[in-house]
Amino acid sequence: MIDDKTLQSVLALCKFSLSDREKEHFKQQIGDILSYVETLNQVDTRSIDPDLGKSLESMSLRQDKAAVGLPTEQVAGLSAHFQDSFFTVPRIIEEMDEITEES
Amino acid sequence: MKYDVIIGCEVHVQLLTRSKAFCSCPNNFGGAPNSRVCPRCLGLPGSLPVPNRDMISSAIKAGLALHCKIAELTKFDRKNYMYPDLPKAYQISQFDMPVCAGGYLEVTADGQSRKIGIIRVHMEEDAGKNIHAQGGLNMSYVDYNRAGTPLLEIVSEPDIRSAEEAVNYVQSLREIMRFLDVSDCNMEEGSLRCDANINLWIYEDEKRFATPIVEVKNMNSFKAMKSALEYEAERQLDEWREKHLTLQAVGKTTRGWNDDRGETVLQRMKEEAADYRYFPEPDIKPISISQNLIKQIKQSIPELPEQKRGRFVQDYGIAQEAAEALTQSKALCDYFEEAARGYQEPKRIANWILSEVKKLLNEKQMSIEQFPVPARQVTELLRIVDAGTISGKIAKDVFAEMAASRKSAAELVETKGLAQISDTGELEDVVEKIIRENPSTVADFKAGKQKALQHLMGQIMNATKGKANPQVTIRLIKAKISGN
Amino acid sequence: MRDLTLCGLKQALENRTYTSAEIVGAYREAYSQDRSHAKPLNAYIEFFADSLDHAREADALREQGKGGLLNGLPLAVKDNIMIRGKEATCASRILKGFTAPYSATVIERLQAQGALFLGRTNMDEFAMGSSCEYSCYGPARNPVNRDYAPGGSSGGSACAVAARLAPCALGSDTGGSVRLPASFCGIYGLKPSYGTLSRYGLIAYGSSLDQIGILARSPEDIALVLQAAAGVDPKDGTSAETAFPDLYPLAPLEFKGRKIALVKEFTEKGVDSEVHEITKRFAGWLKKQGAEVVDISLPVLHYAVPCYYIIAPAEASSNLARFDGVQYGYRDEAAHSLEEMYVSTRTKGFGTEVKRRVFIGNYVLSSGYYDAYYKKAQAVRSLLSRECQKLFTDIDFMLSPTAPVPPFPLGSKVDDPLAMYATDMCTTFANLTGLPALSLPAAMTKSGLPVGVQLTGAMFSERSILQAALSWRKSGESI
Ligand SMILES: [Mg+2]
Ligand SMILES: [Zn+2]
Repeated sequence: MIDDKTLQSVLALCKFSLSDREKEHFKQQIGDILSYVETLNQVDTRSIDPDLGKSLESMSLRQDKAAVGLPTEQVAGLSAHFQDSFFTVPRIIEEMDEITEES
Repeated sequence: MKYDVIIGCEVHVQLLTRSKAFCSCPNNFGGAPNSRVCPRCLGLPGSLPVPNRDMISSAIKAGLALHCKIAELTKFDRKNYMYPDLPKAYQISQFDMPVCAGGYLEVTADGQSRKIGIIRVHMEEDAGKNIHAQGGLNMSYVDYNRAGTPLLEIVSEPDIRSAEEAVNYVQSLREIMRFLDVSDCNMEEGSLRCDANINLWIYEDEKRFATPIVEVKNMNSFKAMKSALEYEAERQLDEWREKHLTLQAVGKTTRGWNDDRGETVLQRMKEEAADYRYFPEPDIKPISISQNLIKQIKQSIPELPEQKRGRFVQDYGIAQEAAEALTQSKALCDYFEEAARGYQEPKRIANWILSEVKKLLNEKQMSIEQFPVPARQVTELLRIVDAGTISGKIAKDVFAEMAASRKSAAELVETKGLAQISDTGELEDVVEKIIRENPSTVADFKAGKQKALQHLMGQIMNATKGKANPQVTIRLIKAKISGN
Repeated sequence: MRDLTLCGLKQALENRTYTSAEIVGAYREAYSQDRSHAKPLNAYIEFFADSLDHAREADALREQGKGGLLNGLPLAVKDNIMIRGKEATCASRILKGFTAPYSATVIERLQAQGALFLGRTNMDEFAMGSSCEYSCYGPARNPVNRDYAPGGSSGGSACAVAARLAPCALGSDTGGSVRLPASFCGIYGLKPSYGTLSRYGLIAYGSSLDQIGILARSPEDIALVLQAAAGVDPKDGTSAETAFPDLYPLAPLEFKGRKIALVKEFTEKGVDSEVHEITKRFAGWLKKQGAEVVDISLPVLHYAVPCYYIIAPAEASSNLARFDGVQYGYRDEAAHSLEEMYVSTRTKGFGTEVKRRVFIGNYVLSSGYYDAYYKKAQAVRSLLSRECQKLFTDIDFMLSPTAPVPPFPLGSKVDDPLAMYATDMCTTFANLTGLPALSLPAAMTKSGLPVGVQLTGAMFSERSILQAALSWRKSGESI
């Protein structure tokens, strides 16, 4: 079982909500799943380098060459909330609201 | 009350790569909204990031110039938070294995040079831009053109001790990035952005107290930065006097600089601090950096401003201030050195560039790269002055004409008949005439009034349209008057 | 005609026995017939209206003596692999109506060889599930017994192939999602080595675990498709250089001198006795072929599932954060503020199992819990990789059941996440280590349900795994 405070704080990260009934169900189920995965503590991992081993294959990189991306019609076609070349969202409320541009 | 101001800076600079950090979209400024986007930088499902090779070499270059250690193995991490300008709802950044760490930057403030420690330099991608509707519309607009632009985040130690030093630190950083051709560091366009952490160490009752750290954001110019940090230091001092709040009790808060009101405004308290849930970016494997690559990049690093300044003072004998002014850009340095090549008095070249060239650049709103007069023409012009062919005053007009017409100094002096009259015979007639026409001035001169000489000179210059060689003229006036 | 394998259809097309249009027509007919069944299989979310057009184009190409390795051959595609111009929804409300503006690399490569696509197949939402019941389009059914689950998450793909609604299908496998439904439906299903197939255009669940997989009724079919689709992709920096240029036609494997390990951890506790018995029988068959079968123990394998249920949700919580209604997909129009829009869009858009996993993922990554869960799981994963690497220096294949249990009735585990997770007991370790693994149809239970066994090989040993499976198929003992 996880407690209400934990449930609330993790839900805030998840950005979804649960009904009261779902919450009770969730607290139990998540608690069970967490106890289950905690069995990992039985494994002795002291021999494992906490950082990445140096034997790892290295990433292949991209040459710095520019290419055209998606044509505007396709970008516009992604969303019903595309207006005057912009995606639109409900107004972003900030404490520094008088600043017109985010950076 | 005795206290120290403690400042650390977090600077973001946009890299001048051709393409974005993890996709091939062009990395430019401006353009129609959402015109430089693709599945990757829009965070479309199924798209994957592939790091830009030049972003990594730029980061290494910057790190080396800041005397950092370059990681043998570096990796990317995800910084998770949801915001409309962040297409994937995470920013690809670096958390615990940054590409560069542990360097320093030498900064001069108050005539004193100090080393400011650099904790780390890491790579990350920029977000898009949120634009808030004007006039009460309940909407915000998002443009993703900037999303995915490669950034370097450069984090300093809290070694900075004044607002002035903080500004100088960021200016030196900008200078270096520009010399390396890694970033254009334009604060107005947002290709350089700086946040600062500031608090005070207050010495009271033989103890040291730290005031709560404030992260100051939204400093959009060097002027704003200086005012914001000065304001914040004052504010914290007042707050300390009033409430005696310590860092232990309050922690860190975020305040934004409001330029119009000239004050910082509280934006975020500690308990609201975001939980970014950093974890290794599974779509990008760790990257190993070979000693060979580091060596190659090291060799590509040009002489940096700091070294250049020393050399200019040493080799050319110019003043420290002039050297500082010249090393503001690499192109200006190159211009100076080319002009000074083989000229016996480099100081005069430096002065000419810092006065005449700068004046024209200002007037024409252009950069030295766009300046139409080649550096060797400055040398030629000064040689013509040295030969006594034209005066220094006329040389200034000639120079402006050179910039406007793109003609050479010699050509202009020739075609416009600007050469000075140094021929005694020709000048003698004029001098005699002026002396004859101004008996009272001559009398004043004889009485020892220096002004009288200038008055006579002026008349002669008028009569010769400024072409009279001043030295020869003065000699003639004196000879004529005393001879009479 | 629908009884032919993909390679059989290839032959038939080459011999002009059938045209591609006839083949596609037959599948379409079968699909619509099944729709009027009292208990429709629900294998397809959408059967593409234009598949017949593509078949005709392929036929025309063939007439001109042109066309690639797969010219005119139809495949079904899981609903999380993007085909330009088609919807791709991951069986989630949050992506309903989302049209892919680009194609996955694997899709492009198959198309370049002339393949065409019949439709999008049903799946567990965002590939999270082992029964294909967590779909916003309702569950798919097991064609062997329609009251049973087909396994998941690529349940629609397995169902379509087993029910002969497609000769071959693409799925995705993050913790067993190709192998498990293959086992439950009595077909072959390969999860290639991590990096063999590009992930570009596969909608991510757990990025470090995800692989596109192939389901078919013959190992040779899988070889054919793998050959066309494998190879390094500059769009996926985690894709491998390894390619399989001459996999097809596939030859059977010579078992003499091969060493196969039967792992204790996958044969004892938690394994259904009938499944265990079938696995043993398969081991007996291997011995008869001349292979050496050894019993070994690798205790860390016990921890593969808990390790998986930390790492996969962690990555998923981040991968699925982009579904917020801003640029594409579902958005709750009624929301007045940004925060409200995020929350109500995601609350209505995601199903319960997705919410559970996103929750777990955010929990294990959040400050204060990261070291105890995520970091520990990464350490266990490293240990697991090290141990498996060591093991495969000595052996050729690891043999295990694919699932510890035979197919289960629809609805029997839907509300019991831990019971559902337990079905991944034998499959997740291959995703955690990146190793290639294949489920092959071994036998039927007494009650007539298919049971598969799993062969796992060293990195990039797809060829020999498929060859071993082909030997099994050719032996005639295969179901
Ligand atoms: Mg940053
Ligand atoms: Zn892009």
